[in-house]
Amino acid sequence: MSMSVKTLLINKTKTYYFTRFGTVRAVDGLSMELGEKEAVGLIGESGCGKTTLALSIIRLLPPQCKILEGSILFKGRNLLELTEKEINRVRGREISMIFQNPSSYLNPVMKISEQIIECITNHHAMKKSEAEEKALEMLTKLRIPEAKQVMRCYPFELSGGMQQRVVIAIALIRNPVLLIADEPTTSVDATIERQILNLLNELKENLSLLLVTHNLGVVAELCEKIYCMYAGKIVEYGDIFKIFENPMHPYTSGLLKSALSIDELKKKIMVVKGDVPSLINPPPGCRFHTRCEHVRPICSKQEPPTVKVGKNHWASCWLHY
Amino acid sequence: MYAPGLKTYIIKRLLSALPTILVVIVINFALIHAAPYDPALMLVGEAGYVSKEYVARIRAEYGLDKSLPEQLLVYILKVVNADFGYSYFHGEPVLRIIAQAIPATLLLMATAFTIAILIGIVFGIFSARKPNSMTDILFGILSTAGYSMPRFLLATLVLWMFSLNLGWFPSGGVRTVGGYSGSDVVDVLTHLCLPALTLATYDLALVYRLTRTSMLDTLAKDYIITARSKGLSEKTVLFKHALRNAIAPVVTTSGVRFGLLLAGAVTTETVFNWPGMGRLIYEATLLGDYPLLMGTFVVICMTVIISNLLVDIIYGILDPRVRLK
Repeated sequence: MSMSVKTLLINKTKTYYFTRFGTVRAVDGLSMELGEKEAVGLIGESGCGKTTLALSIIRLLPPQCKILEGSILFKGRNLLELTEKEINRVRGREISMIFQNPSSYLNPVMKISEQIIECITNHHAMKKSEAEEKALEMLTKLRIPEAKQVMRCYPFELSGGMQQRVVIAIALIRNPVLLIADEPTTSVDATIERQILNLLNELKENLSLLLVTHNLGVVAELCEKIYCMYAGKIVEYGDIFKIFENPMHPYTSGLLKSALSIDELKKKIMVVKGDVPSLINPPPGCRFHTRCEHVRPICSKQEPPTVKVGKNHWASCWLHY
Repeated sequence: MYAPGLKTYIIKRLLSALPTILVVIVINFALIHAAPYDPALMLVGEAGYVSKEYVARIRAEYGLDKSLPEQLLVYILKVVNADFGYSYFHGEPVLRIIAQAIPATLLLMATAFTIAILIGIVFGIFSARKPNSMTDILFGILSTAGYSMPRFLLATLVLWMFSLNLGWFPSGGVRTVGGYSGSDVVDVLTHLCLPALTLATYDLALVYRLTRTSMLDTLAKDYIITARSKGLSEKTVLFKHALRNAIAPVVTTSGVRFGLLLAGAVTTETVFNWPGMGRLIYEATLLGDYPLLMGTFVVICMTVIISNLLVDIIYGILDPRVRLK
């Protein structure tokens, strides 16, 4: 680990939803870090709090959701202490985000050109023609065919893959330091997924990437480091090859086993038994103990501490304590 | 799947309005003939006892002896040529009487409509930004009251309160009888206040509620998160991204309401003695002045058709997806 300031340093952050059914502890005392030009994957099942964490970073949570504790340092600055005006200057300019479903994340009644150039004409006083030039350049760079026509289109006139590239163009037009990609390929088909992955692979040379996904193949392709999240907490993290080869947390190994590869197709697909626990009343102790095959008496009583289980590899499990 | 251009869309809409107009004229004609009276007898009625020959002559003169389809054709041709016949009571061409009443009504309607739309939308956005806050709840109560209050009651209450009791505003008419010392504009405006507010109340409440609901819906949409993630100002997010999507139901309803406002003006204009179309309809109904009544109906129908046409066009400008259909 270098001594330089981390691009992103999340420290014991808690983000809760206050609903009429109770408090949902979506992100519960979570820490993670991301260095300069590093690509980190955040993996876990649906509903484990991944997206909430991503939205916590740029503070775009729904009104019933609050960040209660902890800090999120971006290049040493605590984003949670910034005023609304200050965080607004970070959004889009230094931290950008791309989302899961491009068709719902693009404004249906605005032309593509409008949606891209407003990002640049907003803060810097750039001329409209100049901004249009830049937007066109970006679309061409993202290999959008007939970029000029696409600029004049509305989102519903484009295919899903094109829409996702427009979303990426919006995120990249201001050269952000950190790109948060939340399930960027989930809603596109396999050929488009390939194109988007190739694109992200090129892009990550110039920025830090936080990839939020449940798709292990995507993570394997793009990231050097992964964090495995379960029920609002990180259960294991470290070097991606170490974890893929030798997962130290029963949840991570279950997750890896449930992923398919061609030669495994004939074998029985492994699944992690049981359901994601309710985040209103999460299980005491280790949150995974209700589904764990190695469960011991201590697991339901005390939360396991995070221990180093190898070089660049950490896990929170009583098995290794 | 490219959307057709705006021009094509507008031309299509215009063309589709034509059959509607024809249907309106036919229905109007059917209404006259469904009414339980003989127009020829009505026309000669005031002369007391008349001979059968005289009635027959009147029939022939007005084309009433011809078959129904023929009469319909004559009627359509007349309406197309803006010939609505003569008013029984005024003895003047119906068109001239209506033309004289239109400016007053238009002033009243446009004022009421502007008040309703502007205040309704602004307050709706305001409420949607902080749902269930104290102001939102207060506006909710007020809008329910405004929405459910019968117009004749509201008109009477307003008249009693602000004119008779407090004496802030004149009780009726467009200008002060016997001349006003100040400027004419101020005189008309003070006379306009109470009827315009009365006429606006229902639509103000309606627009407010529609805007609030629609904005709440839109602000929860994914593309609003995208807009915020771009670091845009709250103003841009609200007005450029959210309002343009949220405004569609408001536009649709207001278009229909603008046409119907004329019908609502009947009570308001009668209570406040406002010399517009509404009062004309009221008087024509009381006097049984059928040509005048039919003329006003055609004008109301045309207003509804035109405002609907405008809504379609505005809708097509706001949302390009509409142009596909």
